Amino acid sequence: MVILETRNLAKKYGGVEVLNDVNLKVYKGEILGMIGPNGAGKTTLMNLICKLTDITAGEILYKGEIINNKKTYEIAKMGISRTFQVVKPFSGLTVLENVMVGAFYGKKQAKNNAEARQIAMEALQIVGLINEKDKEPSILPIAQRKKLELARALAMDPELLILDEVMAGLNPRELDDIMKEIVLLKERGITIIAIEHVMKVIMGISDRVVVLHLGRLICEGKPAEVCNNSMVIEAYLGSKFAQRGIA
Amino acid sequence: MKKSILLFGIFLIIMLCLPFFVSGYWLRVLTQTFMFAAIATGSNIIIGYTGYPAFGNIAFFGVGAYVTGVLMTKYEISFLATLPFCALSGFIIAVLLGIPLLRLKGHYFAIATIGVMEAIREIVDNMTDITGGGMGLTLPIMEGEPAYIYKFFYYTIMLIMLFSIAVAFIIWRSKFGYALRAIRIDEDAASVMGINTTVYKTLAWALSAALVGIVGGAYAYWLTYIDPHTAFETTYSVKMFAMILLGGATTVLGPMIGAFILELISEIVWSKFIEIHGMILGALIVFIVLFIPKGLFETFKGGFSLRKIIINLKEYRL
Amino acid sequence: MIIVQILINGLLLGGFYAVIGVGFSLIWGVTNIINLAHGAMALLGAYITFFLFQEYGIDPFLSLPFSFLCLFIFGYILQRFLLNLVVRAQIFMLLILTFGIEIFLVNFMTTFFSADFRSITPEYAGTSFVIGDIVIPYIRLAVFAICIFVTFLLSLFLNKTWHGKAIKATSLDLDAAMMVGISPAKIYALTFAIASGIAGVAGSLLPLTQAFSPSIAGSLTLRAFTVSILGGLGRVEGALIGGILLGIAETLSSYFIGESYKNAITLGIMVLVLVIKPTGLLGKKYFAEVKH
Repeated sequence: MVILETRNLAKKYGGVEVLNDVNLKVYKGEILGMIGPNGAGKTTLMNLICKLTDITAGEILYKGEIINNKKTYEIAKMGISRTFQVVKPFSGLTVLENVMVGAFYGKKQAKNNAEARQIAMEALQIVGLINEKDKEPSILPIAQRKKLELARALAMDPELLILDEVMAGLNPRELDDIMKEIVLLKERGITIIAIEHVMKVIMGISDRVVVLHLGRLICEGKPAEVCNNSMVIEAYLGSKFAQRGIA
Repeated sequence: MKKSILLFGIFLIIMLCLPFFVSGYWLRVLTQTFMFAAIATGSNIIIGYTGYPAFGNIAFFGVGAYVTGVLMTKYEISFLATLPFCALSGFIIAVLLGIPLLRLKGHYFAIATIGVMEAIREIVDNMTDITGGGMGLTLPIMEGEPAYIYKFFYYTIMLIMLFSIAVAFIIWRSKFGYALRAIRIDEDAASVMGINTTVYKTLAWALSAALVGIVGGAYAYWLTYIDPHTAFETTYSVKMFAMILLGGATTVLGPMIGAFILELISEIVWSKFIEIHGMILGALIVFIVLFIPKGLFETFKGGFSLRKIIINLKEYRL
Repeated sequence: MIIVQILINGLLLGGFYAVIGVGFSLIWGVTNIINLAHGAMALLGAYITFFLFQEYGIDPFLSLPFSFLCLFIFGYILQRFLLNLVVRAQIFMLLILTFGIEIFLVNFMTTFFSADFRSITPEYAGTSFVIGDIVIPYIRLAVFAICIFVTFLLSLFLNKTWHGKAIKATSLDLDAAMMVGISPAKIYALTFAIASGIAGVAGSLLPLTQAFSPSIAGSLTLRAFTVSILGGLGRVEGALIGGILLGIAETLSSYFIGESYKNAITLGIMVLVLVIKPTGLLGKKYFAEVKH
C-alpha cells in the first residue's frame, strides 16, 4: 500500500527550479533511502511534505488524501514526523520536556502532564536516552542530541517518519547504534524515509533507494541496483567514472 | 520548587499584614509595585514564554483604564463589575490585532506593538465625547476614610497581582505552556511537532492583554483621574520590560521579583535625587541589559558570584 | 493649486525625514540594532547648533560639519564600548538597551538644557522663493538641498570607498566578512558613528524649520523608523524615497484630516507596510535575520 505519494511535484524559488516533476511513491512499512548529491533537493522535498514551504506545482498525497493544502501542524497530527538535519532541540527545556512536547501535540495528543510524561519516557527508553532525561540538551554530545530528535519524533506516534541526515557527524559505533534503532522502528510498523549520505547506512537498512539529482528523481530500486546504475554514478562522480562502472 | 513556594508563602503573609504597620506613603509605593508586578507577570506570557516582545502591551493597560473610567462615569457601573469588561476588551483587541501582527518576528513585532499603543492613545485622545480626550476623565471617588481607601486598593491590586501570577503559573505547567515555550525557541520545529502556532500565539497575547487590562481598570479607579498620556505611558512599557529582564523572562515569579527590585530602587532614587531620577533610570536599564541579561533568577540560581556577570559579558560581545 | 503647495511642502519635509531616517536605516540594516536613541542623538545635534548660534552667532549651516563630527565621535564610542558588548544578544535586549540610553539622554537634556522649546531664526529666515501661488521658503529649500547632498555623499561612500564596501559586506554576511579580514567590531562602530553623525546633521537642521525640545525625541525616532520600513533596511535610496513619501503623506493628511492624527497615520502606514510587505516598498532585507 502506498502511504505517501507525490505527483508531478515541482518547487521553484524565483527562477531557480529546485525540484521538477518528482513522482515519488513510498510503501507502507518500508525503509526508503533517499540519496543524491548536495543541493539535489532532498531537504526541500521533505520541507514540502511537511509544508514548511509551499509547492509550486503538483500534489502530495498521504494515505490517499491530498496534504499539500494542509498546514504544518495538521500534517504532524496526521502521523508524519521528521527530524532536522541541523538538530533543533528546545534548549531551556530538559530532555524529557522536549520529548513531552512531541507527546502533547503529535498524533497521540496526550491530555495532561502525566500522560505526556509516560509517552515521553517510553520514547526515551527506545532510543536509550532515559538516563539523560533531566539534562539540558545543549550539554549533550551530538549523537545524543540526534537521539533526542528521534525520541521527540517518536513521541508523536508517527506512521511515517522522515529522517533527514540523522547519521551526519556520528562515529562508526554510534552509527551502528542508531541503525539498529531505526530497524527496530520499522519493526514497530513505522514507515521511514531516510535521507543519507553515508552509503553504509543506505545499503544496510534500506528496502528501496531513490536517487535525487538536480531536482529530479533519476533512479529507484533495490540498493545494490541503484548503486551500480550509471546515471547515479555520473551524478556523484562524473561521467568518466560512469563509463568505467564502479560498483 | 518547594523552597520557592515556602519563601513565597512567607512573603505573602508579610504583605498581607503590612497595612497595619506601615504609613500611607509606603502603602502607596507597595500598591504601585503590585501594579507593576501584575503588568509584568501578565505581559510575560507573550514576551517571556512565547518570545514575542510586545513592547507596547501597555496599550491594553490604557484600554482597561478607559473601559473602567467610561463605564463608571457614564453608565454608573460599579468598579468590580467593570473589571471583566476590561479583560474582555483587552482580549478581543489582542485577538484582532494578533492575526496580522503576530506574523511579524522580533523587532518588527515589538515596534508594531508600540505603534498600536501610540495609535490607540491618539484615538482615545480624539474621542473627546466619550473619553474626555486630552482633558482626561475623572472617576467617581470611593467613599470612606483615606486609611480605608489605601487599604482597599492595596489589597485589591495585590489580589490582581496574585491572580496574574496564578494564571501565569497554571499556563507554565500546562500543555499550553509547553507549546508556548516551543514556539519561543523554534517556531518551525514547533509546528512540525503539531503545534498550531498561530492560534497559540494569539491566545497567549490575548490572555496577557486581558490580565493587563484588569490592572489598567484598577489603576483608573485608584488614581480617580486618567488622561491619554498617563494611561498610555511609554515609560511604563520600558519599566515593564526592564522588570521582566531583571527578574527573568523564563520564570513565573521572575517578573514580580524584577518589579519589586526596580520599584523600590526607583522609589529610593526618586526621593533622594528627584532631578536626575530619569537619568538614573536610564542608566539602570543599561546596566541591567549589560550585566544581567538573563535576569537575576537565572544568573544567580546557583549562588551569587561576580564571575557569572563576567561570563554574561563575554557571551554577547562582538 | 493648493495641492501643489502641499505636495511641495511634503517634498521638502520629506527630505528632512530622509536624513533622519537614513542613519537609522543604515544601523538597522548593517548591525540589526534598532537605535531607539536615534531621535535623542539627533537632538544633541540640534542643541549643539542652537548653542553655537546663541553664544557665538555661528550660522547654523556652518555648524553642520561640527555637529557631524561631535555625533560621529559620540556614536563611535557608544557602539565600540557599549553596544558592542551586547550585540550578539537577543533582539529585545538591544531594544531595551537603546531605550535605556534614550531615557538617559532625554533626561540629561531636560535637566541641563531645560524642557523649553527652542528654535533658531537667522536674519534670512523670512525670505522665500515664489512661483505664482506657491511659496517656497529659501531656508527649507536649502535644508532640502543639504538633505539630498548628504544622502548622495553617503551613497558614494558606501559604494566607492573601501570602508563603505566593507560595511555593505558585513551586512550581507557577517561570517564571510570576518573571513576576509574585516573586523566586525570596527565596522559596526564605524557604521554607528556615521549614522550618528548624520543624525546630528539632521538634528542641526531641525531648529531652522521648527521648534524643538527633548520631548520630541520619540517622534523623531518614530519618523526614522517609518522611513526605514518604507524604504527597506540599509538602503540609502530607499530612505530618500521613504522619507519623501512619508513627508507627503503627512502633509496631505494634515491638510485633509487635521493635525491631531499625525502620529496615528504615521503608525498606520508603518504597520500596514510591515504587514503587507515587511521588506519595505523598495527592498529586500539588507541584513538577513540570521541569528548569530
